[in-house]
Amino acid sequence: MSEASPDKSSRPICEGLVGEDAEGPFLLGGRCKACGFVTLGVRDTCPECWARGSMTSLPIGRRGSVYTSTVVHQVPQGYDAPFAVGYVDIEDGVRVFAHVERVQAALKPGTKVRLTVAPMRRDKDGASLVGPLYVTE
Amino acid sequence: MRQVGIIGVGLTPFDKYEELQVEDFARWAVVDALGDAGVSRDQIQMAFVAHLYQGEVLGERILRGLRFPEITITNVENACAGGSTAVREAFLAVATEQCDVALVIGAEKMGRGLINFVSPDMELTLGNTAPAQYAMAAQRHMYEFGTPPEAFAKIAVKSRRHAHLNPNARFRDIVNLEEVMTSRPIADPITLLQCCRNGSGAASLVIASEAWSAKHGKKSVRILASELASWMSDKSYRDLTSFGATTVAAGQAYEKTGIDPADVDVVELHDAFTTGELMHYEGLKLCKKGEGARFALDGNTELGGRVPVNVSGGLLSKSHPLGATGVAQFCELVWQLRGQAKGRQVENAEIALAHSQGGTGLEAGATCVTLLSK
Repeated sequence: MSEASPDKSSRPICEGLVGEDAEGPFLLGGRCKACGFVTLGVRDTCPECWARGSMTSLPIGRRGSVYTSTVVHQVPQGYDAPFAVGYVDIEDGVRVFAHVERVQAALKPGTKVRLTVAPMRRDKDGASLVGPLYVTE
Repeated sequence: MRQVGIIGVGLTPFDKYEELQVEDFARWAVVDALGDAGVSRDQIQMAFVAHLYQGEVLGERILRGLRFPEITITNVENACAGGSTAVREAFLAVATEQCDVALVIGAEKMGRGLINFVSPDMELTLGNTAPAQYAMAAQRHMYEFGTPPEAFAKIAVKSRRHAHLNPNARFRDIVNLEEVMTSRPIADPITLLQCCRNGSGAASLVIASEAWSAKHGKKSVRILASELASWMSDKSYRDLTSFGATTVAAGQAYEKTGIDPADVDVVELHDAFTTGELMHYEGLKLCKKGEGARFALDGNTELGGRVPVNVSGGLLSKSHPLGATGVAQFCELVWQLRGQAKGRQVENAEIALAHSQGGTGLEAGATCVTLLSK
């Protein structure tokens, strides 16, 4: 398992969020060895059973379903406007905020999507910061 | 718990105040509140002071400049619900006999642009913004209930119509539905005129036990209940067509007091964005779940309607100095219940409701609902 890095001048926008293997990109998830609870990210303490150091990493979020999305026109510094974002429901009850593909407008709730890794914005040195982008299946 | 009421209010109307320190314009509100109550600094026993960005011990910094004695001061942070949380803390302190008279201050000095969240959060790293969050909640509401964008926009029209009547409001020009809907898009369906603006300002209350008020000949607006609930979602599924904590806090307030939502005469609620206001109509049980659009479009929440909401102009027309916002709602509601809201008085207002919420993202936050009676 390694951090996704499409090209040399890019780096992840957020450490420990996206990985890539033979099947393609995934979100880094964790599963508790003690109770089986699944989280986004590998947590120190299991949110459900509170066991410490019990989370093992697990690829999640390769596919999902859009819960809601919007097109954002007033964007934070460093981003090009507009972009689309949404909440995507992935496996085991995990809902993740991510950029989503902008087709006509934002994606309709219920749209089936798959995870890709794409440029999000540039940092102050011009390097491309990449992160999760869900696109229609 | 003994009976507690608000005996004085003071408001520094929200604006930019670029040349002033937060302590300066906060003191104006304190002096006005003490003047309105007719109490001296020596009669204040505790103070609860809300802000988000103003640094260490804001309360001490404000009150030393008014030569207050060494009273108990608690500085309160609860994001945009900090002001209402400070009111609640003061209410509880007096109700549980920790003191007879308490001062509340909410004050904030802000810059421009999107609110700068300070806590690290993955969503914010990925470019999420406050309007985007309220837009996503609205999109789901539109999907589930067929809510049209016009219903949200109508709330901005109402806000300005109310603000036009209120000299304390900051943006007082009347706007029509088309102007709202064609103003600059921010996050669909939210346009510029459907967003509250940043602001600076302060508000202050004097809160006392009714026994103390009776003994000292003070008129009091009673605090019936003040309930605080949290929203806590940790990357998990939940219903974004409601703000869950609003439902919980309001439900508890109604249950504790036996007040029916239909009995509420006037409401100040957290309209940071029009979409939030519509969903709060449902959360506060002013109308049924999914019927917020009809409720807004039929004019129920306008002055003269069934339950006027944000007659002050709300956050949309007053702007939103975070810590001050929740306290300022009480200034308006006290004026309404006293019959002093000149030009915008809700006739025969007897029961009032204040609601404010704040947090980071849609995943962690606080909501406070308070009921007041004449």
